[in-house]
Amino acid sequence: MTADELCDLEIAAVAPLLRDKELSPVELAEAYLARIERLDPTLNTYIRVLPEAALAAARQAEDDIRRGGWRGPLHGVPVGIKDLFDLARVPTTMGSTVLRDNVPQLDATVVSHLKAAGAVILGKQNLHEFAFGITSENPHYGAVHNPWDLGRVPGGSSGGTAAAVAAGLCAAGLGSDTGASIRAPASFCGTVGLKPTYGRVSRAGALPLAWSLDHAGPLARSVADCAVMLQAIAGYDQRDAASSIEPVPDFSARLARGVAGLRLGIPREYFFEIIEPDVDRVVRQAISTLEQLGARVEEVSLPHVRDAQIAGNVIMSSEAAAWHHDWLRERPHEYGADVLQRIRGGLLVRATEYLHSQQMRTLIQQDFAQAFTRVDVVLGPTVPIVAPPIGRTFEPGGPLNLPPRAIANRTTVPCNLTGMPAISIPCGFSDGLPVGLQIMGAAFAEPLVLQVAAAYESATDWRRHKPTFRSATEAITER
Amino acid sequence: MPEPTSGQMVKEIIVAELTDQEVSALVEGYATLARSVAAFPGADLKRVEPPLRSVPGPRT
Repeated sequence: MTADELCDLEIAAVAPLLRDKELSPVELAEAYLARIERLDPTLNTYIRVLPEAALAAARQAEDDIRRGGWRGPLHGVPVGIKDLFDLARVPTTMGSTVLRDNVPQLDATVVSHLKAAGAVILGKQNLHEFAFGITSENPHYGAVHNPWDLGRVPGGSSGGTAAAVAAGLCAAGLGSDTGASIRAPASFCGTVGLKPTYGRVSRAGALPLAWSLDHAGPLARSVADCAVMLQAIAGYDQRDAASSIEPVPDFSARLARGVAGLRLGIPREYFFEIIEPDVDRVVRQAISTLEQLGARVEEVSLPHVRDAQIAGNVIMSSEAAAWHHDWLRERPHEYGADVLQRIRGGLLVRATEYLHSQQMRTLIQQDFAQAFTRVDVVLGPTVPIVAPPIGRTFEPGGPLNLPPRAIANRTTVPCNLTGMPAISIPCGFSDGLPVGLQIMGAAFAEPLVLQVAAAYESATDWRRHKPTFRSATEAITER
Repeated sequence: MPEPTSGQMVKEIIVAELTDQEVSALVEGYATLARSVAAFPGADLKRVEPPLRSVPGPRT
């Protein structure tokens, strides 16, 4: 097997090779590091690669496994982490220059969980500045490029992580999601991305964007790999005030159960009202596939969801403004223009508007609670558009002739408001660009969400499609 | 507190050097947001609380 073929392997395939000592964790880490060195100057997915630390962790994993101490499916597996999670003694920049010299002394809880599972951390990945945006066009560390089309954004804010997973620059990654930031980049890059239930995964040691909306979660190349990552990072943490004591189930236990007899809800309002026609076609085809697999499809009404985007944006900008308050006055020149404008907008929000938005959150939660009395999960598009071109995300464009930044979190933010788990999985292509299907479940129903996602994934071959960035890279080099 | 609908008010709240273009973008952005929130269904809002709760403090 060549080094590039090793980097193509999903965790489910590489873990048994590592466990059975047929593959060395050092060889695997070296393959990833070489691939990063070769391709990341073009894709720009990492802010900081950590070759020495990664190889040291890989050597440790090799020793442990040789002595019979295999810890599980992440042992010796190279992963990346978005650069808003603390890794002890390595700067956490959050994609900003304000935090260029912010060097934590402790690992984020999720990072310590990944280390305990034996994962090899390759580096810290690029993101939209302060995680406040959906493009990952970072003014300080450069734009991340989508491996499916280097002229397009990978989505954001976890754009570096999604692009790296898609391009084989890490086996899986750790992202965060405040309005779309795991699921939108997963959709744009053709990967799987899961936003767990609020409180399921600790955010301790992750710099905040908006406390009441922030979630940490995995991005991976398959649903099974996503379940493995979630298993490693889920659980109560006294360091996170919002952490839940809900028991952690086996997230892989139901992956093979199929969807026969399950009830799938399709929202009557909002989710399919503003959507590129080809994305609409691809998502509806995916729903038909699930129906053919034995699920029952039923329309559900979520009348208050139409106000989700404004409520989400009000809460997000207000909470962000509170966290950034001092820097906004002392160091505004260190912010990129778009993020500065959005956070300053939060300073203008009045308390009544913030609280009305929080009340709207309650109404949306009630709508979903009502829907879940009739259906098991709710389906829709992850994002109503495909990845837009870099540098043209403020202006109207695409088949809808709308600014991508204005609509990209439209169908994801409802689950940040409700705290419900939601996953994006690849479900086809529009003009050669990936489209994501979003599966939303009731609180703490990750096993069911993963079950539906796995059933769809196993009935289709979308995840076997690989980005053609290599030829695109060659084309850029030739230019 | 009055609504931040004038450039002068925005400057007082932001407390930073702002260009005229930045001020007008902030005024326009806020006006859009305020209109959208004002259009929330008032009768529905009246019957619910925000999901904010007091958490009992430590017990010694």
